[in-house]
Amino acid sequence: MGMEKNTGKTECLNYILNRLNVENRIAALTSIGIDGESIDQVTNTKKPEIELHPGAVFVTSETHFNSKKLDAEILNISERRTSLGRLIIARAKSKGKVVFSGPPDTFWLKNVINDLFIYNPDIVIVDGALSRKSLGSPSVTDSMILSTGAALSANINSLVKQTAYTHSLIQLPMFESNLSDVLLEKSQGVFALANDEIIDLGIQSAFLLENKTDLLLKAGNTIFVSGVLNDKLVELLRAQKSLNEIEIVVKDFSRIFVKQKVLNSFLKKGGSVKVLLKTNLMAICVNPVAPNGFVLDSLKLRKMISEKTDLPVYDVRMIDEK
Amino acid sequence: MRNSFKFHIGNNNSLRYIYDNLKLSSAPGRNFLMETDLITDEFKLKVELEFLAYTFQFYSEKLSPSDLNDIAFRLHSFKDIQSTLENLKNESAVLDDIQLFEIKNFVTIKKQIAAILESKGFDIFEFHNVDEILAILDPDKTGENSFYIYSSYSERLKELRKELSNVNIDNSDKAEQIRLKCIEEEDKIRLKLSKKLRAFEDILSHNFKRLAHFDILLAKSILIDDFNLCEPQFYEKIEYRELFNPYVQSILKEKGRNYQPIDISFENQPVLITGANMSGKTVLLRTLALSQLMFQFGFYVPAESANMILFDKVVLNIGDQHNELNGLSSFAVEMTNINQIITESKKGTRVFALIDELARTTNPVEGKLLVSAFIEMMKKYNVCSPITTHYSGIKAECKRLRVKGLSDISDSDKITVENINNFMDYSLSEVDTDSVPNEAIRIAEILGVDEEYLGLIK
Repeated sequence: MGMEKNTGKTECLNYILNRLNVENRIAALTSIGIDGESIDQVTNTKKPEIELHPGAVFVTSETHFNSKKLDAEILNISERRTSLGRLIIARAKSKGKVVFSGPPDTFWLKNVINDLFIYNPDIVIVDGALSRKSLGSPSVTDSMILSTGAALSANINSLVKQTAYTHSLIQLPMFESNLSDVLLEKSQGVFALANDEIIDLGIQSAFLLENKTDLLLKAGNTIFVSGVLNDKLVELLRAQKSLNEIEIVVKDFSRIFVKQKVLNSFLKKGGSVKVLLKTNLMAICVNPVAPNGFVLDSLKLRKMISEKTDLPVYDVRMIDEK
Repeated sequence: MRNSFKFHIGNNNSLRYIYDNLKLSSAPGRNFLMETDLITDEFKLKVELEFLAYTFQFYSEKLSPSDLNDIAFRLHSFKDIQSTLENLKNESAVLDDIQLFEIKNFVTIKKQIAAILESKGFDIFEFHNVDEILAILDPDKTGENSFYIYSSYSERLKELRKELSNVNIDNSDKAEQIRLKCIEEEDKIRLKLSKKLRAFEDILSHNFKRLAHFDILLAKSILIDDFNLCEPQFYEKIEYRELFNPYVQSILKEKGRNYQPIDISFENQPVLITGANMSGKTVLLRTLALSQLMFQFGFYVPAESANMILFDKVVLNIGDQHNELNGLSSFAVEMTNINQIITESKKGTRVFALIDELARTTNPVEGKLLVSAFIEMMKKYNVCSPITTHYSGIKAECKRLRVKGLSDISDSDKITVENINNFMDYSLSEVDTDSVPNEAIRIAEILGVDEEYLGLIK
């Protein structure tokens, strides 16, 4: 999962796939959501193609399947359609490159992951991205590798800080409830949770809070935000007198788009934020090279992030050089 | 379109409920049923019901729960490949890998299901043999349903692929060159395969329809068990023993109440139904319409026994179709519908016209005349038309049925909104009077309407 485009996620994924191939292990791959552009409009860099080895099972849309640069055996086709056509599950028969696309929502993603297990892979890998637009959650997986890099910030201190912040979001505690499945299926709205009951607060999203602030805590102190959690909602709740019992629940860390400052002051005042889906962060990959050519000190960057997060940090290009 | 299953479930909650409980396993099954038109041809409907009778017996006697799971599991992977089959008909079309996979996948599933069915002796309709088609798409005889352009299709492709695999992937120019040659060769193979498959287009389409049909028949068979439906008989009049409405029954069950099935019979003629408020007249009409639609879409029907007539159209007019968008009042909508029924009947269309409280939104004097005249028209043109009314003094000659209602209740019974269901007798009896039961005030009392208001009425 990449914190930003060009943070080296694809290189990291290709590295993992190469290693799996060397160890003769079969990978099954899907991504979250679809991205029709083959060229990234923002930075004018090419949309990454993933290099697969024979035997790998992968998911992609009809559109991307037809532009693949490898031989692949079709195993199954989805009933549902994405904007790039149905999803194809296929097995690579030769070495070559393919652009991934995947299910755009969490429920479908979970199903696709289950479908992939039918083909007996040693591991299922999900290519994820932090995006407001995507409804798919990377947290449906058991574990996660985060990629970060100079593309996010050319200032090493700020880059480390942002990465550590994302790490802290991934570590947020889980909200234990038997309502989880029902809540995960909600695609919009803000709800109060009280005594195993879900109360619709009549607020469509955290962006539409105008004049509804009085409604927020009317039905209880646990608020579930089905979409994106933003600064505004957190600030509103922070302004309440007693924060001790106020709990915000979101689907998973990738739904949180709140400035570090704002969140910290909410947490400091006694509020809490919990997630329905939690994943285990295994490692962080760094790409010290920014798309504009600026290069950070790889070793220093790795050391700083590792100190802040207590996780192993890799630069896959450096591993290759050894 | 206005007679398709899809149209009718959009307009009829009871039928929608039936559909929601129908255990179809495949997308083609669902799509076929949706597009099915009301069957108005007696021979066609008889054949369809014979298929169902056979399938139901087969399902009940020959299929174990594990067979059933096995079939449902396979049907689940049965995809809608109609557009691919359409494409195959086109002389110049070349199928791509996805379409070729669809055909192979379909043929494999069909073969597996047909094998299960045949081993259990299912023989009411035949699936054409598909081994030749399978041979085209499975040159290595792997038995898998996956597909790609296999190297064994051509020596040249085999060589090109070998060459490509030896090229360093980073030597992109060289790799790209060989890749282009591969694509060229693959396209030649796709063209050949498409030509070969075209010869089997008939067999593929035939099997596709059969398998979708089987999914529908199996789902209908399971429904018979789930809802205790009965086999409808063709007859010259309508005659139900213990007719019931599964949708209303399920709602009552949720509230812990019982549903009282109804016996009813009438000729291909108008029949006037009277009864107190809350005595289930509207539900009766809805149920008659539901059962008729189920019959003519080839289902068994919700009753203990059922004799039925075939119609070209089933029209249910429950005066709640107020059409604000067209600026029509409920009376105008009703009159438009009534006029359509009359026009169609004059043309000789066999209409089953179920009308709830005709002319209830206008003054009772004219209302009565409207009802009387309508009954006369229906009688003249031999239209089967159950009509409910609260009006007394409808003079037209016709069969008259009355819901028994609260008539046999002693004054000591404490009736409330909650328990009225237990005291109401929903059964029908034939009457020859043109007066209707006067129970509106009593029902209003039970509903707990303001006493001062009731006092004034009395």
